Amino acid sequence: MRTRTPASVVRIGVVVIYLFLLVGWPMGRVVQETFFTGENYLTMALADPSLRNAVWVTLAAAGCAVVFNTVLGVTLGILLVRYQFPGKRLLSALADLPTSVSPIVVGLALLLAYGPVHGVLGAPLAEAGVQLIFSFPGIVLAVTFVSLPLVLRAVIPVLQEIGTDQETAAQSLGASGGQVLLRITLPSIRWAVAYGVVLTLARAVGEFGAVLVVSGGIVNQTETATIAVQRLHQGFETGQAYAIGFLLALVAVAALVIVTILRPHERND
Amino acid sequence: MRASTLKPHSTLTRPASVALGVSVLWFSLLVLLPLALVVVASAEDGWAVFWGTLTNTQTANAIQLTLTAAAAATAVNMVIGTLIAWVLVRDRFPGKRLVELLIDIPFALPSLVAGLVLLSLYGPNSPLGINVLGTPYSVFLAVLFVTLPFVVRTVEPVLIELDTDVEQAAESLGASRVTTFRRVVLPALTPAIAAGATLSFARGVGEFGALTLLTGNRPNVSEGAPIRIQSYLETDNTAAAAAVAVFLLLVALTAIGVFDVLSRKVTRHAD
Amino acid sequence: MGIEISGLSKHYGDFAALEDITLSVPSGGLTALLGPSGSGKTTLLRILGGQETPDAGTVHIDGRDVTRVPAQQRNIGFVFQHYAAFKHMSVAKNVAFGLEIRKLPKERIRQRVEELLQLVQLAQHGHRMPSQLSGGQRQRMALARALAIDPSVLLLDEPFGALDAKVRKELRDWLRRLHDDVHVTSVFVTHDQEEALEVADTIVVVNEGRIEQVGTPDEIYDHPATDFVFHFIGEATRLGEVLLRPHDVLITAEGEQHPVSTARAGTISRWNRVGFEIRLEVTLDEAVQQGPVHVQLTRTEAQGLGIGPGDRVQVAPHPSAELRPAGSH
Repeated sequence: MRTRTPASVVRIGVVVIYLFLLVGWPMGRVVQETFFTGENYLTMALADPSLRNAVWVTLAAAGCAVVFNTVLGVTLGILLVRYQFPGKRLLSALADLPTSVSPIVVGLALLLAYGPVHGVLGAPLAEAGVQLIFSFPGIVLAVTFVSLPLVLRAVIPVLQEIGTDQETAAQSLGASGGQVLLRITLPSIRWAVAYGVVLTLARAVGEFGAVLVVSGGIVNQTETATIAVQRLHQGFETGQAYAIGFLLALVAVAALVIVTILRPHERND
Repeated sequence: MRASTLKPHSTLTRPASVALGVSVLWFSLLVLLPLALVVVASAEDGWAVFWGTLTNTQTANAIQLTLTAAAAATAVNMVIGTLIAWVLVRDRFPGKRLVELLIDIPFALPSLVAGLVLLSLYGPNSPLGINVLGTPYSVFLAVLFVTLPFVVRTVEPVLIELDTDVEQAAESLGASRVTTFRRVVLPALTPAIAAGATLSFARGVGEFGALTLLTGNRPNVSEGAPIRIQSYLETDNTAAAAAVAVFLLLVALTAIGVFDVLSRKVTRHAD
Repeated sequence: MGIEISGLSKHYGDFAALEDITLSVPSGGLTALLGPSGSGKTTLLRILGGQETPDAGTVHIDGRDVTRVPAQQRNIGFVFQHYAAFKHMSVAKNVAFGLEIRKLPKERIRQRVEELLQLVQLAQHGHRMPSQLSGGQRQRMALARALAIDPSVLLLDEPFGALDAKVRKELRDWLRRLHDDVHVTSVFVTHDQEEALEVADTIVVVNEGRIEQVGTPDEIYDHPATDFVFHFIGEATRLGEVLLRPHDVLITAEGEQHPVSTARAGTISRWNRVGFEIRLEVTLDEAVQQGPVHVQLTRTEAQGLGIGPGDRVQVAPHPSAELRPAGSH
């Protein structure tokens, strides 16, 4: 396999050209459109208060999603791996649902449940003065929904791999259930959690369809970065659209790089 | 049967029961209840309205386009994805890490930005002179981009596990390289390819963001089913939006079911 | 004192892992639970450790009924086959764990950890992570960790099972010596009869959820109580109507005076040298049994007897050999 046969040259060639045309070149074009078409659109975009606001809204919502999904993912992960209870397989299968549902369907679903007018829970809540949809909490709901299983899926294989020996050993040394959790289980899965958190963050920052439906996209209030890209693009402010696109792409690439760095940790631990 | 090999699972302790209860409640409120309400909304006006929505010309065209594009992209992924996995596992070449990164970009890149990015190369200002905007190919291209990693990443681990010994054994028995691939390698990879294809298809059917900017959303020509849901929502036709959504949901659920079965087959194979 | 087990039973569904076990483990001894896979020995150990609860019966440790006491409160040291090292903690932190749980003063913990690392010969390795240690070192660390809490009982589950042959041998000798110094009541599980014979003061042979025999290594080896024990401890061969150890077969060349008058004549049909040992098979002239008789000799013995492959010989049980009646063919 070390020797390069003509067949392998063809294989590699096909793969490289395909990936260059589908991913590499288009990604390069974003950089070009942002920085090399007359203006530095990135500085320009970041000087715009409404865009700065959109970036903050995006980050804040993603931060909330990370907190919720980390708590849920770690809890559910431990329950699914370490305990036996009825409906376990069903719960495990359903937990994957959020990543398989079209984002626009997610938006619709949240609207039907929490919309202020027709929402089954949303209407009574609105009467009580709590509005979830078309405001920041709606965005949080949407991005939490779409990134829900990512920490869970990162944690489960590691929990399975480390097994129960360390936990049993800690117990025999006198540690209570809480102490075992805090001093043994959680530290053992910390890299997997970090891995899941990065994926959650990337997914939450980049969500568009679900957020589009539930945020209302009010400029300076509930507009997220992705919605701003759409607005700018439709308003023919292409340069700035690409600039925000560039920022989002940067987050994505950074997430991938961090994830690659975290991956070997998981194995060595 | 050895006691030490028995599963370490224990029944729920009190704190664990509380944690399970809270988790399930949260999950139900966030995910299950809203999705169930979509199903309810689609059925609210009766079967005739539901069916009428799906068979409405523009909607039917959108669904057909989405399914065709997802199927076509998946077919491409099954071939090129397997090839990419093969190259990543078996070949060494400079820039391999960059290739690894490129493959995962569609996973991490916001899908709206994916559409924007593709538009810069395959839109009206294409330096290649290729413009897919407003054509059915735009949907195909968008889906092809966002589903790139699925087959690669499911086939890769199986290929790593698959010992080259087996291939060398087959070759030592006189099989040609093509025969070896067809009779030894491919059967081992098939469940993984199928699993990756299922994920790719499910994702392709539901793709929304990448279509938004890239396709131009011309009714009956380049409008995908998820975009159709959005336009129903914009005209406040929730029941119709829900009908199309239920259809997409069914496709996603079927895909999950198939994937579950196939991935267990893959695991068994790995044993 | 020590451990008193009485009427202990444990079932997994239809499978009876332990049935009505009554056993007394003396204080301060090193006891081996010996048996094949699935014999129930590990289940018994886990019940002692509090990782499993019995369906019936009681366990007393130093006079206290611990049958329903959770593992945390038993003050038992447990050493696992695969070390169960806390991978995210340094060696010193691993050893300190039980003491920190007990909220001992920092300085006291530091001293005790140092002492124990000295004891298990890891004094230089306190700051390392478990992943930087060899298998043998990791097991010694696990032992120090278990001993740190001054356990009333030390339980070891196949403690050498994951180590390679040479390290296993070293660690066995070392454990024997350590136990002579520390004198904590210890119970270890093993399926390796050689290990049990070499290390333990007392051996408990377990099979199919029951105790077959309890005794010193010599008693178990020389006077096995049941056929199972006889077969499980060491090899066995058949000579006419009896079963015996292959090294208890007295062999002489044909024509020599055999000390046993009832010796049977035969031919050496197989000759196998394994290191210092000769393993040979003698096919008897009379058809009193189906297979050949297996005989074990040292090389020196074989040379002294002047026999070799294909030779005519006479065989009989050694007068002092432990014999068991052979069953049907």
